Amino acid sequence: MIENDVVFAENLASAAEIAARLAYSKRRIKPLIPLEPERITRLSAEQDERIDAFLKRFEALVDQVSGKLFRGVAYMEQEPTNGFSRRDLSMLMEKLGVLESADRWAELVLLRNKSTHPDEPERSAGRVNEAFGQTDFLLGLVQAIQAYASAKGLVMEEPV
Amino acid sequence: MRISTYEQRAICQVLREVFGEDAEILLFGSRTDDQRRGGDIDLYVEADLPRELLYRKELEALRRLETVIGEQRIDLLIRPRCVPLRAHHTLARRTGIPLL
Repeated sequence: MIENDVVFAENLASAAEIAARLAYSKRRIKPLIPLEPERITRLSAEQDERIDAFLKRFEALVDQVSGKLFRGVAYMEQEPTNGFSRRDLSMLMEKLGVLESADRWAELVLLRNKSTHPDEPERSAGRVNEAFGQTDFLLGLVQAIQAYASAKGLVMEEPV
Repeated sequence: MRISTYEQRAICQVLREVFGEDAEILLFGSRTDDQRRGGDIDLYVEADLPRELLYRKELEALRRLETVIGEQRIDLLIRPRCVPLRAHHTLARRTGIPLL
């Protein structure tokens, strides 16, 4: 494999590790979902940590996919991405069949970027519920990129 | 206010499609001040909306706004009418300029 292939394979392996931790965190917070705004201020410290870990892993996986994997796929396809906006890149992934919906991905990135404050319990609870609901889509996306990489003969990772 | 007529129309159209025709839309923050430069576009929306849908609708609105006015920084402060007015809502209402 040439150097860029190795980098892509390493980035994909990192994504798979984060995805496995995210899947674990999702199972750990499942009993708390749907989270009500009234409850978010009355969580135990342990429950709070579970949710924080889940959100951190969710955010880390969105970063890894958008920052590393999408550009890696574009490179493998020899698609020039200089000057591409985030939206341009996700549209390219949709065109290549890696991403099911660029619109849904755009909302996932917004979810990752739009943090909440303690004085907004409705938004805070809504963000957790929304991330929980989108996790399977995110994990499925990593699987789709793994399948793409396998088809290209690049990576032999275990599926998420 | 420092947003273009096109942006104002596009913002109102998207937000009314997402939050309903009777949504109240205000621009607040630095973009209301003609003497300043740059800054986020801060929008306050008050609408009949179940609070469970608040965050979902926020994401949908932001995604659609990005499509029509580009990936510039937009912050939405949304108050479902079933939620009590809080200090940050009151401040936005007091200082905001209605968008029609």
